[in-house]
Amino acid sequence: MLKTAYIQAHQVVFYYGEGVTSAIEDVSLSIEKGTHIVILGANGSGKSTLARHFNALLAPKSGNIQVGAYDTSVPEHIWSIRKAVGMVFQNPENQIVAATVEDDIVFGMENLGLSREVMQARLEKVLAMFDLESLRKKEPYQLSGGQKQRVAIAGVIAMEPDVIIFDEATSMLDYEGRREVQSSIKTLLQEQTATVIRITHDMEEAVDCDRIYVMHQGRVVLQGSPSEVFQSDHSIDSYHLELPFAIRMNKELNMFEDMTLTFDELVMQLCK
Amino acid sequence: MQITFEQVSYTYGIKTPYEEQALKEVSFTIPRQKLVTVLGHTGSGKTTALQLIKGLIHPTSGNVNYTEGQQSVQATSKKPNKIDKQKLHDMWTKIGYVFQYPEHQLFEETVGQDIAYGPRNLKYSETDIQEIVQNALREVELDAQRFADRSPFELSGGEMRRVAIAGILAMNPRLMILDEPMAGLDPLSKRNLLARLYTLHKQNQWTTVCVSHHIDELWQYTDLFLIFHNKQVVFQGTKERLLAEWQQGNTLIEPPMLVKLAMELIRKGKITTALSELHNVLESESK
Ligand SMILES: Nc1ncnc2c1ncn2[C@@H]1O[C@H](COP(=O)(O)OP(=O)(O)O)[C@@H](O)[C@H]1O
Ligand SMILES: Nc1ncnc2c1ncn2[C@@H]1O[C@H](COP(=O)(O)OP(=O)(O)O)[C@@H](O)[C@H]1O
Repeated sequence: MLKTAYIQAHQVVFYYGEGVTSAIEDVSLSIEKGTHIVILGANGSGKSTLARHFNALLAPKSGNIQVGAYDTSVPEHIWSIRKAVGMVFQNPENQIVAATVEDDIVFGMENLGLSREVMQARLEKVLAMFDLESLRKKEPYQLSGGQKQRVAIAGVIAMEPDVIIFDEATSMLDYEGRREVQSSIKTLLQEQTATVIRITHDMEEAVDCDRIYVMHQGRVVLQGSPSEVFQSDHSIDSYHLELPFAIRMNKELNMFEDMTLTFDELVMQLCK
Repeated sequence: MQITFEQVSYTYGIKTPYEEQALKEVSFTIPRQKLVTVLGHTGSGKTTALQLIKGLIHPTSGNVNYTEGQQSVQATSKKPNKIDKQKLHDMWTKIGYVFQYPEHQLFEETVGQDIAYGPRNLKYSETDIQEIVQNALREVELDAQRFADRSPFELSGGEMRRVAIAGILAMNPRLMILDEPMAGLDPLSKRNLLARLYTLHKQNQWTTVCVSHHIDELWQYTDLFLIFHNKQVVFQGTKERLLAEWQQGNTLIEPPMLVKLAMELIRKGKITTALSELHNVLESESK
């Protein structure tokens, strides 16, 4: 399958305020349409700052970012970029704006000028997808942190953007909740050929993607497929990461040559 | 401090259109100086139970019993008499509550002032306050020289989290409530913070209640598990008892990875070990 670069960052530098130190230091990368990307790295390594460049919440101090045909530094392009790139943040408190769950999900879509019927259909779809049907009439204050996080995710998915960025958006979810989001991401990749970019600290989530970028002090220091990244394990610790369970067990048992990235692969090897 | 819930129910928004029961006749004990890990799906009632413990809300029915040293007192749905009111207030101030993302609650201009905020409200002398701040910073392993005068907003995620926790340490709690204390931290910071909190738990002889979705990380530190499901407590007991539940096929909660692996291998007939034999392996794996 031929894939085309959709987001392209070219020698991006960014600093906050007076800029004593750079939050992003010379980052170049190219993300293909329909791929599933994971960004890993220590707290403060620049992951959020980079992600905020992808939907033009921040503009590079030098270098540039292209999203499709648009340039994030051109003010006239910002609206088109925001429509193309949806973002779900870590803290759902500030993301729910309307009076009820239902209204909040519709609110995002209204700005896209969709017809009533389309909005209604998409609303029902995401309510079912995230098990929110029983909560549809609830007000934000009646929801727990995890429930709010699901509403925020559903709202962005209903807008069907080309790219969805999850900035630690599953941090408040329990195991079930995380699995739900995981499977909805799969659906998005298949049905809508959306590009998914995830920032996470969960290594088990990270093994299931096309490409990982590891950030350290504002730079991309490692990139590649999950097996490539986790094989260069000597540096993993210094970037505040850890190896996924299946790789750790594999090493500890010292039993087989083949790489085991996922739990299922580990079980398969052990049962050979 | 020891806490016992007796048939506690709680309903939000009573007699409003939004009325919602969050806890149904729940009974359990948090024994003194134990580390109790609270598990359960979103919406199962965990936060409601913690807020009842801290006295932020009061039972709709049933009792929450507190014992600390020689003192005992009960929170019920009724207004307490004057003596009990004072006793309850004393208990509640001895409970430290570290909310999810506690760094969002930092607000003072410097780290030192932020930590001093609580003790200052309790009208300690300025010299005592300085000592408390120094101690609290030492306990979370932040160098007072380097950090006390800095703005809390210019720190890393892990550092901010430790400042927020120092602010609670400054109140010298006897019981610590930790709501997802590691959320949002990278794997290394997570491990470090957890190890530090455990040392503090032992040193200060806290009773500690920790809510988390991450059973793997907490396993080695946990004395007792408390599992919420559908607004009720469906399990309270030790690791050994929880392993026995899984052995019998009760999946009250997602097991640690290693247990999942063993269960899978048992199911496939590859091993015949009882899960209880995994106990020692688990203790070392989680380190
Ligand atoms: N709003 C801000 N003002 C000033 N500095 C910031 C701001 N947001 C982040 N930073 C700093 O920029 C660097 C990168 O932060 P961030 O992108 O949030 O990292 P990550 O997402 O990897 O945790 C850190 O040093 C952080 O302290
Ligand atoms: N402030 C509130 N008002 C109304 N209902 C609430 C409130 N907080 C929680 N609830 C409801 O109470 C139930 C238990 O929630 P909670 O104690 O927050 O669970 P958990 O902490 O396990 O996620 C849920 O059904 C939730 O929707």
